[in-house]
Amino acid sequence: MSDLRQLTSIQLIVIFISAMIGVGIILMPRDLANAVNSPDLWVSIIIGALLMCLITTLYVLLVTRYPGLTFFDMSKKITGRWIGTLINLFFIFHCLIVASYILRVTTAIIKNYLLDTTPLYVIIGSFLLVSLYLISNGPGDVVRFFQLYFPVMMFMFLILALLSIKDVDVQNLRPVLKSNLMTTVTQSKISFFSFIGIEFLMIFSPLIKTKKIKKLALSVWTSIIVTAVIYVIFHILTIGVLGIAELKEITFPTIEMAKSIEFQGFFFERFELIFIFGWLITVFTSFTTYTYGMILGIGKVTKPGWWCMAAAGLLIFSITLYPEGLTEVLDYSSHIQWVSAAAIIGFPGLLLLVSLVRRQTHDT
Amino acid sequence: MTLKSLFCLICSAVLLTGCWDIKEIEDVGIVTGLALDVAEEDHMLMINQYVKPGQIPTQQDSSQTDSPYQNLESTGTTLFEMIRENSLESNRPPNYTHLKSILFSTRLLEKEKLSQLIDLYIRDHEFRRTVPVFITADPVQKIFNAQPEKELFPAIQIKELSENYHKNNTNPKNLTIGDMSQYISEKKSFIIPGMAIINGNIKSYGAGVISGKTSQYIGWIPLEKMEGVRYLHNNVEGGYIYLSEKNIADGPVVLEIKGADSKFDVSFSDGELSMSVDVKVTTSLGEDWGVDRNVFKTGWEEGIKEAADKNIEDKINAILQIAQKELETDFVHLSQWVRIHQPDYWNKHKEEWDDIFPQIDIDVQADVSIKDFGTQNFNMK
Repeated sequence: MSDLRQLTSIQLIVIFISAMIGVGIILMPRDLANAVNSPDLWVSIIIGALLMCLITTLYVLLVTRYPGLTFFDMSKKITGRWIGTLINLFFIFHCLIVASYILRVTTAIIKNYLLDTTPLYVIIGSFLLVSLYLISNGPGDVVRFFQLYFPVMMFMFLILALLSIKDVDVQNLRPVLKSNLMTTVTQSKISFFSFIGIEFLMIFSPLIKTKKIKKLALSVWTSIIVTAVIYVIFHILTIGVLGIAELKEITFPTIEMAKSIEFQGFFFERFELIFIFGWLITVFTSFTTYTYGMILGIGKVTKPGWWCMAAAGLLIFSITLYPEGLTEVLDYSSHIQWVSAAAIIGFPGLLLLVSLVRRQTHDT
Repeated sequence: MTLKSLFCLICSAVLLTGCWDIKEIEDVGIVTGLALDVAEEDHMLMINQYVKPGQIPTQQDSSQTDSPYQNLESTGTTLFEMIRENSLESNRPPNYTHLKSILFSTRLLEKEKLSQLIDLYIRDHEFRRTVPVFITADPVQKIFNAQPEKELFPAIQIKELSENYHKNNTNPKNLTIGDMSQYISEKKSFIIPGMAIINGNIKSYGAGVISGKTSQYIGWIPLEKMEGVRYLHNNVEGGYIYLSEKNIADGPVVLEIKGADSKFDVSFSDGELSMSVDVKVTTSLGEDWGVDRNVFKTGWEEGIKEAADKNIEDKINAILQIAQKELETDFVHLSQWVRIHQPDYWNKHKEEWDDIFPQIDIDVQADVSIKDFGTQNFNMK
C-alpha cells in the first residue's frame, strides 16, 4: 500500500491537469470549428473554462462540508443508502463510458499512426493492463506517476507549440472577434466538456486535508486556467497552421498539425511520432483517473477487493470493443456528454442542495 | 517464489521481444516520387519512382553503372488500384513515408478533379502533409526520366529547385499537399508550381492555375509573369528588378531586392468593393551599366526609383489582368483580405466571390527604396 496520506496544492493541480487533458486536445479543434465556424473559437474555450470554474464551486463546497469523504460516501450520507447507491451507480457508469471513450479514441490514433496491423484488442488490452497495474497499488502511486510524467507532458506541448509557430499563417486567425458572438458563446458547451476530469476533486477528497474553501478553490481554478491556456494556445496554433475550413475535415487535427512540422535532414523528420508518445502519457493519465474512480466506486457500492479491478477491467474492455468503427465512437460522444452533464453537474448540485436544506455537516 | 519469478520471466519473454510487425528496410520499396498522367481508354497513368539502394554511388566507389532509381508505370482508374498493381512488377511493397514530390500533368487535371485525385494522399497517414506538388505540361515520363544534375533522383531534383525561391522572384514557393488540401476545402483557386523539360533539363517553369470552383486546371502563368504573383502572395524575400534601356535612359540597371512587404486594404462604399495594394520594396543597387552616376550626391536614385516603381506595378497589373479578365478566378487569394477587412460583406457574398472578383477595382501602388549601392562606384564624369 502506498504511504501517501495528504496531497499538496501542487499535487492537486498536477492531478487535475493530467485528468483534464486527454483526447480533447486532439479532437476538440474539429468539433469547435464545425460548431463555431470562425477563427474566434478560442473565445468559446475561455467561456467554457469560466463555466467550469463556476461548477467546481459545488465540489469545493461539498468537499469542505464533508471532509475525508469521497463522492460515493457523501451521496450515501446525504440521500440515504438506496438513493445514494443509485447515484453512485450512475457515477460509476459515467466513469465507465468516459474511460471507454478515451481508450477507444486513443486506440484509433495508435492504430492509425503507430501500430498499423496490430489487432485492436491487443492495443486496448495492454493499455488497460498497464493502467490497472498502476492503480493496484493505491491512489498514492497514481498521484506519484502523474507527478513524474507531468513535466514530460508539458515539455512535449511546449516543444510542439514552439515548432508549430513557424507554420502559423496569421491571416487564418483574422478577423479577430468579428464573428457572430452568440454562436461563439452558446457553443462553449462543447469546450465545457473538455474540462471534465475536475470532478475527481470529490474522489481524491480523502487525501485533501485542508478545510479552507478559499485555498482549495484556488488550486482547482488554477488547474482549470492552466488547462484552458494550453487549450487556447493549441487551438490558435491549429487554426493558424491548418485554417478553419481544413480543421472541419481533419479527423485528428492536432496530430496533423504535428505532422506538418518537418526539418529537412534533421535527425527527426517525423515529429508527430515523438509528439504521439508524449501525448499517450497525457491520455494514459486521464484514462487512469477514470478507471481509478470506477474501481473505487465499485468497491464502495459492494465490497472493496481485487475483484473490483477485474470487474472494472472487463467492463471497460468490452465497452471499448463494442463500437464498430470510429464514426460510431465519435457519434456516441454527444450522448456521453449528457451522462457526464448529469454526473458532474446534476448530482453534485442535488447533493449540495439536500445537504444545505438538511443543514447537515460531517465531522472527522 | 521461484514459480512467481519463472512466471515473470515467461511473461517478459513474450512482452519484451517487440517487433510485432517487423519489416526489414531492405524489403521496403521506398518511393521518392509519384507522377500522374492520362493514359488510353479513360485510364490514368501512375509512375512510382523507387530507390534502388544498391545503385546509389558511395564515396569509395563512385563508378556509376546504372541509374539509382527505377520507374514503375501502372494504369488504372483509382490510385489505390494502381499502387497495388505495382506488386505485379516488384516484390517490394511501396512505402510512401519518404515521398519527396508529386507531379501532375495538365492534361490529367483538365479531365479529372484535383479534389478527387488527392483524396488518397490526405486520407492515408503514410503520406505526409509536407510533400510538395508540381504540375507540368510535358508528359510526366519525360521529367521522371530526365538525367538530374545535382541530385540522383529527378523526383528530388524538382523539389530542390524551388528552394531558391528567396533568391529568384520567378520561382514559385513550394505548394505542399497540406496547403493544397486547405485551399480545396476553402474552395479557393490556387497555383501549382510548374515544371518543364528545357533542352533535356528539368526547369522550374511558371505555374498552373487550378480553379476553386471546378478543382480543375484552367490555365498557365508563364515564367516571366510569376513575379507579380509573388508580390500578391506577399512572399517576396529576394530576387532582382531588371530595368532595361527602355525603362530608364542610362540603363540597364539591376536592383537586388532585399525585402518586400505588400499591404492590402479593402474599402466598401455605395455597395462597391475596391481594393488597394501597396508594395514596399527595399533594394540595393546590384548592377549599374550607366557608369556616370554619382551615388555620393543626394537624389541620384530618383530616376531609378520611378522606373522600378512602374516596373513592379506593371508586373502586378499583368497578373491581375490574367486573374480578373482572362481566367476570372481569384488565384492570388485577394478574398482573404475581404474576409479580414469586411467580414460582414464577406459572409453575405462569399458564395458569389468568383462573379464579384473580376469587377473589383484594384489600385496598385509600388514604393521602391534604394538603400545601398555597394562597395565601389565608377564615376566617369
